[in-house]
This record gives sequence, structure tokens and C-alpha cells, in this order.
Amino acid sequence: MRVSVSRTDPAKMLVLVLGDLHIPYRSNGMPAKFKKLLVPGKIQHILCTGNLCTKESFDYLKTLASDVHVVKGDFDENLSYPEQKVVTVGQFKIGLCHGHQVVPWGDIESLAMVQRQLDVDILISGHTHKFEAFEHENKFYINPGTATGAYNALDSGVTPSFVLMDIQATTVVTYVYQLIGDDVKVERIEYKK
Amino acid sequence: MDDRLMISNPVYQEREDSIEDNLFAEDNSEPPAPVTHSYSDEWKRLFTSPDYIRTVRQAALRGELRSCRFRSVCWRLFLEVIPESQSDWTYKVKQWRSMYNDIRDMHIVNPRQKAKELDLAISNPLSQEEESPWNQFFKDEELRDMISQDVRRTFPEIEFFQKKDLREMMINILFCYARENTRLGYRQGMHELLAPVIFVLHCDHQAFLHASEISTTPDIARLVLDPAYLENDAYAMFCQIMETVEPWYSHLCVETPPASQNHDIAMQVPFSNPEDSAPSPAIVTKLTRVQDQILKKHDHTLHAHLRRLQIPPQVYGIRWIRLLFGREFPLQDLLFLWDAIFSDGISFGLVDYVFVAMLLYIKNLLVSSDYQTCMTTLMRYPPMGDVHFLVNKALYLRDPKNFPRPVNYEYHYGHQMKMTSDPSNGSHAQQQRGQRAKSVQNVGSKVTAGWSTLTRKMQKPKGGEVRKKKADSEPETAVVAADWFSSSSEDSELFRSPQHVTSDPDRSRVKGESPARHPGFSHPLEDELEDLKASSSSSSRAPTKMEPLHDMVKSPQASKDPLQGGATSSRPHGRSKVKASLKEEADKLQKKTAALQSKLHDMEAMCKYCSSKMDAHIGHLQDNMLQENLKHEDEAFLALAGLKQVRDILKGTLKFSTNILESEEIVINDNYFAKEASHDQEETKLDEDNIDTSETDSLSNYLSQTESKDSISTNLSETQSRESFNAAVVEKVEPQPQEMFDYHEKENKEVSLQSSTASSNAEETSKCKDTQDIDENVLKDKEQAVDLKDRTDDSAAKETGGKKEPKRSISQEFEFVNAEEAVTGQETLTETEHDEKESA
Repeated sequence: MRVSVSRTDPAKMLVLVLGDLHIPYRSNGMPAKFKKLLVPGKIQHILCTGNLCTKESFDYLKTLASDVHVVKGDFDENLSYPEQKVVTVGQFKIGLCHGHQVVPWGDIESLAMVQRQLDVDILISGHTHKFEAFEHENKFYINPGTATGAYNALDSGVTPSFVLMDIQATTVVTYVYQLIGDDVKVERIEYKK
Repeated sequence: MDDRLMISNPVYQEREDSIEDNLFAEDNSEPPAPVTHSYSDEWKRLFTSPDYIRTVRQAALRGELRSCRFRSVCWRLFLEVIPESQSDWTYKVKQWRSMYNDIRDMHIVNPRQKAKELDLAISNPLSQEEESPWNQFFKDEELRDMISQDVRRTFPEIEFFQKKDLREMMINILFCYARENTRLGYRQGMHELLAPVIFVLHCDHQAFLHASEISTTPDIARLVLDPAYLENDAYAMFCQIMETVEPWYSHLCVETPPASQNHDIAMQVPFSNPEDSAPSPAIVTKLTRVQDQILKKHDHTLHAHLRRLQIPPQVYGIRWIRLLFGREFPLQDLLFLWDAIFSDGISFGLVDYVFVAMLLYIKNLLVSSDYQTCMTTLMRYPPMGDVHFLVNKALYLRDPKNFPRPVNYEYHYGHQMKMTSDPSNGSHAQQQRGQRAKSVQNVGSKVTAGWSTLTRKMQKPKGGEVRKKKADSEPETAVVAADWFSSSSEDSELFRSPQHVTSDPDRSRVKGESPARHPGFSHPLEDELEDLKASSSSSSRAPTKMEPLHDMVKSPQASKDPLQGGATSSRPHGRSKVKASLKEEADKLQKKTAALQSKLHDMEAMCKYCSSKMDAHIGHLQDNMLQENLKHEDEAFLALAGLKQVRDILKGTLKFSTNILESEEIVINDNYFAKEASHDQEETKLDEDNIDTSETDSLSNYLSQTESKDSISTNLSETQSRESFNAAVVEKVEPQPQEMFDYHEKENKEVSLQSSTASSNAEETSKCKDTQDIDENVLKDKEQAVDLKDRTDDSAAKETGGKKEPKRSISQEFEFVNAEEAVTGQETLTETEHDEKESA
């Protein structure tokens, strides 16, 4: 198993978390409303759960922020992405994993195992195409869902969503952006270390 | 009031020096305040008189704020941050502070706190809504980034500005200003306006803290100088500065702001250039006006030159003006300049004239150089020793009727001797320099005129003006160099010789006769001697207190003391006349002999130096000539032989007699050597008794030899004196004869400068010892110089004591001259070096 570790500049604190774009195979692109929100200059880091599929998607992410971290999903063309990744932002250690390796998919206990393996404060995983953010045994788990609304293996009625983390000293404020109908709905979840 | 200030100046100066040191070392502990100037006294003196604002303004123009502990308060007065009536100070100061607090709270916000109160759809980090705090937050971050990039580069050489909290404070202030003035926003350069303000405030706060530890401080000072409000007060001052400066930063094509005093002039540009007629930002309009109106009025040549080179003022001037000359001067000088600019009025009307004064200061350099050099000079303004000159000059330019014309301003380039009009100016060294300059100027004014005619004769079409300028400033060089010595060593002997040497050429030249031809008691030499006395006495006394020379000349009584050994310094004048006259005569004799002797020493040292220098150059020449096969090799070598003979005479191995000089006619009046020749006469006169007559024969032989060589090597018929012969040979051989000549002249000038020191050298030579013995014999014969020997011995000891340092500067000086000779293109650089040395 490949785990890469990187440390980021602690002064810049807005972290975009997204994944499972599946462009162009399952979706023709990000929703226009999301694209409008995601403008360069605001976000300092991007954590991507994988399944970008093509290089073009990666390049798009690169235009939003210079610091992009990607792990390998089961449909990624680029095989050089690591399976798992640990990124330190400020005081938080953040683990990144696509999630197709974790069975059952999206299972709390299985994810907790990965969390313990990587020894991280926040574990980010994807693959289920369903947004989730919860605290478990004082650790924080985030699943940003799919930013394009691509269908998954079991379900086709998927809500496009992504997550933005505002990381301060010991607090992470998570903003969840979901496209429900034609409107972007924002939720706010706070996690304290 | 003025008297008191003047007297207290040295105290001030000391204090200022130490403050400077401390601040630059970022050690903020204040030196103990002088007892005579307690903190509250200073406060009272500045701010309690009924018409105090005028007092303060004048003090600012005189540079007294340099050492003032309330400079920031003065600035706040000038900038109208606090009103004139002191009863309103408390209110106004508090108002400004609370205003800044409000502004800061309003603009520096954390979106995370506000976010909770607002709808998430609006207040989320990615929100595009205008009212979203996050949106503003990102814009602010961008702005702060931009500001902090500049702030990081503020005065990198001063450690004070490298502190993190200070940077943060600067960013806050600039940020708040930018947010408050959204039309202008933040522009590069503002940080350099803010930095000195903070610096001044900080200094005053430190002084206040220190003063409040040891004594009670005025209540109002406690409020006004509260260190807790550094940021608030700095913001207030910065805002007021920006009020005036804002249009200069604006890119908008606005009309000249009403704040500008010369509004009416700006509007009437009837025959403007096509390139001017296009709408341009206020700064360009302003600069064009400064160049086309003020500069043109005061110096047409320079204006035309810049015009011809097509250097528009905005190329260099935008920075000058926008930063209020912040990049052009070191911080301490800058602060003084700002004292003057601020005190002049909130409209900063003086800026335009300072601008022109700065251009005039480097005029000679600009006019004589090409586009490239001009640009370099303008973009990197040469270091300037005395900013007081600029201020005085600017005041004079604006209002010639009410302000005195700064002395010596036409010599400005490369030498700093201004501000002689105001003896109470802040800097102690400057004061000295100024005084000395004045005294020398009296004597040297005629010399300068002569020099310029000489150099005009020697001028070449290209680069001639630089030469001329250099020659013009020769007497200054002497004085300035003397200053170096004075700063490096307090040895009074060092003062003396440059002064009297400077006076010598004038005397001998104007009178056209050798002073030494009259060895009697009553003779025209009297004047000169008195000059010498004056110079020696004024220098051998406390060097800090320099009386003007002419005063001393008028009252020889006063100048007696030092040679009397100091014991009789308080001798009453009302003694019996007979006794007095006898004593006077004796004194005169003593002084005369002393003066002559010192002169002799100087001459000898100079000769020795010249010979050694010639030796080196001849060797060089010979080597080169041997390598090349010249057409008339023989003649050239004959000329060389002649040169060698001259060298030998200078060295003293070949004796020299008066007979040669009798027939001699010095054609180049202004040549320094004319003087030297007359001194040689004098020397020989003195030694007359001891000179072997047979030597005269050998010397006349020598003369005929040199003359024959003369006719061979040069076409100049008038080069009969050995020196001009020397110069002529050089002229022939060297590719740049004129330069070479200047170089020679310079060399000799320098020699005369150094002579006093070098005389200690000379003492080592046996020849010198001989002459000394001879002199002493002469004196003993006359039985009048009992304590003289002791005195000369003393001075000799002193000289050897202070010998090392000046010697080094000789070699430096020569490196400089040689470099100049080799690379004419690098003149700017070497001049700058020169400047630096002076300022050092």
C-alpha cells in the first residue's frame, strides 16, 4: 500500500474536498452552479478522493488551487496517484483514500480501521457518491460525494455535492455544498479536535 | 532663545549621535537626558510660549528637531493632526484614536464570527454575494497580501522595521487607509511614507518612557505620547500626509488639487508641448510644471539639457515626489527634510522647490554627461552630505527675498559645505564645516576665479566641464579634506596647515611677490602672518569653537594666546603701552618664525612627496617608452632625464638657488606652483647664510639644461619654471594632457593638504633636520625664540601621533585620482566615492 505524506502551509486554511467526477464516462462535467462557485484565489488546497478519470479534470482542479492532492480511484487513468495520502493542514492530520478498497463500502468500522492505520484526525473517503460527514470516536469522517452527480454502481439518483473545510487553529468548519434541484444548498458542520 | 539654542547645540549633538547609534542598533534605551535639558524643560521650551507654533516651525527649518524628543508632536502640529490651541489637544487626540479604533473594527473583520449571524447561503466561503463577509474577506486578504509584500521591503537596512509586530501594524494602518479611501486604495510607495512616521513616533515614545522613569513628565505629554496608541497616532498622521499626497498617487486625470499652492500656474500653460497637452495624471502635470516653470526659471541650462536628452521629469521624479524623497536620503536626513517640508505647511509646497534644489545640486554632473549617465544619476541620486543646504536652497528658490541665498551653492557638486548662513543648525560637524568654509571662502574667492580661467584655457571640447568643475571646487576640497582630519583626529595641528596653505596661494599671487623677501620686522608679510596666527590659534584652541577668521585678523591680541602657551590667555589688554608694544613685537617675531618654519616643513614635505610621486611616474613612463619604439626616442629620453633632474631637485639631492627664479616669469598665474616657487625663494632666503655659493652655479647649470630640454620636448615657450615644464612634458607624453594637468594640480593640492602630516615624514629625512637646525640657528641668533623649540617639538610629536590615519587617506586619494585618470567614464562613480568619503 502506498501512503504519501505531505505538509502544507498552515497560514492558508481553505481546503476544497471533492471527488468521483467520472468525467467524461458517467458525467459530462461539473454543474454550472458549482463551477460558478469555484473560483481561483479563495481555495488554498484541494483534496481529491479520486476517480477524476482523465487528466483534463485534474487540470481543471489545478486552475482552482496550486496545491492539489489526489488519491487513486478505481477508474483513474493516471496510475501514479497513491492509494492513500496523509496531508497535514495546520494542526490537523488529514487522511485521504478513495474508498473502493474499504469493504464494505462506506462502512464506519472499516473506515475507522483505515483511520487508525493512517493515524489521522480527519479521514476523507469517497466512492459511495453520497455525502457524509460525521464524528466517530472523536475522529472526523468526511465523504464529499460526487461533484458531478455521476451515478454509482448501485444508485442513479445521486445529488452532486462537494465539501469545503475552513481549518482554523483547533476547529474545522465544514461547509457542504449540495445541488438540490436548481439550488445550491449549504450546510455547516463544526468539528473540534 | 536663539542664543540659548546655539550654546546648547553641542549637547544636542552628542545626544543625537548616541540616539542614532542606539536606534539603528535597535537598542531603544535612551541615553540619559542632559541635565540642562530635562524632558519637561524641552517640552516647555517648545510648546508653552504664546507664539509657540512659529518657534517650532523655525526650529524645524533649522534642523533642531533632529535631536528633539517631541518631533512627532511637532509633526502632528504641522500636519494639523492636533490643533494649534493646546486646550483642544486632549479632545482631538482622543477623537483621532477612537476614530481609528472604529475604522479598524469596521474593516478588519473575521468572517467566521459574522458568519454565524447570517444566512449560510450568503455567508459561506464560496459565496459570490456582495454582502457576504467572506467575499469582502477575500478581497481584503488580497489587499493585505499586496501591502505586506511592500511592507516587507520597507527600509531593509534598518532593523526596527523588520519586527513582525511592527510590520503587522504597518499593514493594518495601510489596509485601513486603503479601505477608507476606496477611490485611491493602496498604492505602492505609501508604506515608505508611513514608515518614517512610525519611526518618529516610536522614538518619541521611547524617549517619553525613559523620561517618565527618571522624572515627572507633563500631563499632556503623557497623553499625546502614549505608546499604547502608536498605531492610532501613526494612522492619523499618515492620513494627514496622504491628504496632500493623494493626488500624486492618483492615476486619474484629475485637475491639479486645490491643495497645491501654485494652482494658478498649473492652469496657464499657453504654449505647451504637444505631448503635454494630452490629459495626464496629476503627478505628471505637477512634475512637468516643476521642470518647465521652476527649473526653467532658475536654471535654463539644466532645463534645456534635460529637454534635449528627452528625460521627462516623471521618469525619476515620480518616485522622488511620491515618497517625499524617501529613497534619496538616509533616514536621519530624510526626517530633517520632512521637518522642513511639513513645517512649511500642510500643502507641502516646499516639495517642488526641494525637487529643483536637488536637480541643481547635481547640475554640473548632469549637464556634462550623456543620457545614460544622467539617467543613472537621477535614478540613483548621489549621496548628499548636507540636507540643510537643500532646504535652504529650496526656501531661497521659492522666496529669494525673505530667505538668504545659501552660501557656496554653485559649488554644490561633490562637496558639502552649505548652510553656512545659519550657525545654529543642528549638526555640529556641519557647523564646523560651515564656519571653516566661510573663512576660507573669504580668502579663496579670488583664487577660484583664477582657477576657472585657467581651466577654461585648458578645456577640451568633451568632458571639459567636469574638469572645470573639479578645478573650481579645488579650494573646497581642501576644506573638506580638512574636515576629514578633524573628524578622524582632534589634533589641532592637522587643522592648521590646510587652512594656511589655502590662504597662501592667494596671498602670493595677488601680491605678486614673495613674502620672504622682507625678512625685517615691519613688512607686508604681516597680513599673512596674522592670517596664519588666526588659523593656528583658532585651530589650536578648542576645535569645536571656531571664530570667523577675519575677526581674528582684526584683533591680533586675541590670537596671541595659544603661542604664549595658554597661561596668558586671560591677559588684560590695558597694560602700559611700552611693555605691550615690546611684547607685541616679540610675539610677532615668534609667531613669524613659527609660521615660517611650519611653512618650510610643509614645503619640504610637499617636495618630498612630489619627488616620490614623480619617481614612480617617471619609472612608469620609462618602462613604457622602452617597450615602444618611438620616432624621436632620443628626445623623449632627454626629456625624461630632465624630469629626473627636476625630481632630484624636489628630492633635495640637487640644490636649488634663487638665481633661477629671478628671471623666472610665471605665466600660469593660478598655478599652484607659483606659490610654491615663491616659497622656495623664501626658503632659500632663510637659508641664505648657510648656502654655499658654489651650489648656485650648479643650479644655473641645471637651469640651462632644463631649458634646452624644454625647447626639445615641447613647443611651449613659457614653461620656464620647473613645474610648468614638468606639466608640459606630461602634456606631451600623456594621451590626456589636460586631465593629466588637473591631476597634477590635484596632486599638489592634496600634498598641501597633507603637508602638515607629511611634515612628520619629512622630519625623518636628514635634509629636513638640517634645515630645522638652520632655522633654529637663525632664531638663536636673534635670541627671541626661547620656547619656540619646545613648541615645535610638541607639534612634531602631535603630528607623528596623528600620522597614520591621514597617510592612509593620501593613498586613498591617489587611488581615486588614478582611477579617474584611467577611466573617464566612471567619473560618476568616483565622485560618489568621494562624496561618501566626505560624508563618512
